[in-house]
Amino acid sequence: MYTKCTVKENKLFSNGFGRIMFDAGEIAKASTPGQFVMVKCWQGNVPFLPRPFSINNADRQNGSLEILYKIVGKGSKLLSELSTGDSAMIHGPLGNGFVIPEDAGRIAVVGRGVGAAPMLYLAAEAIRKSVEVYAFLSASREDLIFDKDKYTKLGAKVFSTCDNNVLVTDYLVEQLQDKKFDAVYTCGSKRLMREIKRLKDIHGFDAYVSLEEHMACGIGACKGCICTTYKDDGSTQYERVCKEGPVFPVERLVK
Amino acid sequence: MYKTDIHVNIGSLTLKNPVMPASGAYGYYEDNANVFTMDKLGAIVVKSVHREKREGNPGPRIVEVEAGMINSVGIPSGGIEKFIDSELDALAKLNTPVIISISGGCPEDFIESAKMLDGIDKVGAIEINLSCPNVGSGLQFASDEVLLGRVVQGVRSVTKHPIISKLSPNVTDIRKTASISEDCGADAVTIANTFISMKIDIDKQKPVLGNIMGGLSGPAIKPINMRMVYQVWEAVKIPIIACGGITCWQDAIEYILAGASAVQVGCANFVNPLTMVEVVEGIDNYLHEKGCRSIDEIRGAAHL
Repeated sequence: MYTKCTVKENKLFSNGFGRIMFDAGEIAKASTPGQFVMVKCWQGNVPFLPRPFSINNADRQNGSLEILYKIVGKGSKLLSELSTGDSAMIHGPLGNGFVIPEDAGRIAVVGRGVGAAPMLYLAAEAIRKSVEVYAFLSASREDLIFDKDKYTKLGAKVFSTCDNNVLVTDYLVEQLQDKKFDAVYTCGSKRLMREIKRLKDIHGFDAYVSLEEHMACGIGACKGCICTTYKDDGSTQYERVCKEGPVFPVERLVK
Repeated sequence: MYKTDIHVNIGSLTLKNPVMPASGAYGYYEDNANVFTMDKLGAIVVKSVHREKREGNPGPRIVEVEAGMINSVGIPSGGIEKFIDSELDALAKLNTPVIISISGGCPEDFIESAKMLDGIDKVGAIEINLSCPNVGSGLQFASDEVLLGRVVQGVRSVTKHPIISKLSPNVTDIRKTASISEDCGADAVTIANTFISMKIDIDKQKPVLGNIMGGLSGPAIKPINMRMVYQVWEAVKIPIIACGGITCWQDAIEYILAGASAVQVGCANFVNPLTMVEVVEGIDNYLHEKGCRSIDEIRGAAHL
């Protein structure tokens, strides 16, 4: 779907991050956790391309869709300048979202900084399905650990750290000593990805990674946003983050 | 269905309207936004099909620049045989002519691919991609007059399909390569492919793209391609398909006034997936409002 969406609220934090909520109607209603949207919120050809954003949260009943963003360049700067009542063209929902195994009883979401943005929607969805959620969040500073209160409010158990010498997955390792996790999800941090793969090989849970990449079209047409993935026979191939991803099983990304 | 007559002919192929995607901007059509049906387009042009299987270039493959983008995708392709076996049937069901873009590493590659496509009635026309800046050593067939002639003539000799020569803008005088294409039997020329370009990351102090250089497209190049279409219109008799920076119907009209018979929309599809249908509608409305009955009445009208 490609529609004009109105801004319900745009809250700019003091640290160069923000959260924007759109009235996204059918796009929000059709979305699943882990999917993304392409957003263009300016007129004319500069900047030229729309920007991809993961869905931080969505309400399928009222059609609202939230994006957690960091101001990094022209596109996100323009997004940060939108006010309630302004509009943007949104294309989505796009890509393949997270898979929650049907018989899952407990899952873990592991994220770092703003990269953890799509995990909130996943946690909410899992809890709706009566799946127990453990959230492991890390960042370099406390104010960069997003959504901590929201996870708690949803009923997730939250573990967080700002200590750069501590791997947030160490908390997961502790929990794994006496608990079974059916699936573990993480974002594109290479360190987290490798650690989750190592733990998967020991404990046998399903593990999924959500990748981020610069994109032009978001629908697979331009073939610009590739990543290298492993096939079953161990050989490698290019796959499109927007079309085959952005969520990949960890074993396709880490050997 | 239209208020005016906007059909155009490319050789023996008739298009109900002059708008089609630029090769490479639409995959094999399947990766589109599903916001309109393909029969709204004058034709579909598929992503170039290489003679052999190719993985394409390493990433990063795209970078945004002022009013445009540079790509170094490098034609990932399953090869022509696989394309004919597994892709062509689906394309034929789209109710619009299908133009197959072919690419290769040497003149023989193009000729072999064209030979394989000859006689397949699902093929509306063949566009010869002589100008991809992202394959091989960066040599573009359309920048070498001898190679260009060999490829076009060779393809002409093995197929009855209309053939379109997609030219490179990276030449001193595009009138020459357009004339050579015409003399060697091309039914039309596409003006033009992307401009060889690059971007450097000033923090890393290295090129941004994995393949170092890529092809610039988007509104940034439109005035240059406009000049080329204007020049080529005076140099050849065959139809010109204009390509370069079209983001709205006004851009398309400008090209038609410069002499284009048809237009291709590339990266604007990424920005607004409705661009092509808006361009079709805009051309029809413009002609109607100007009191024209046919698109033929304004083609080349900008020439003094």
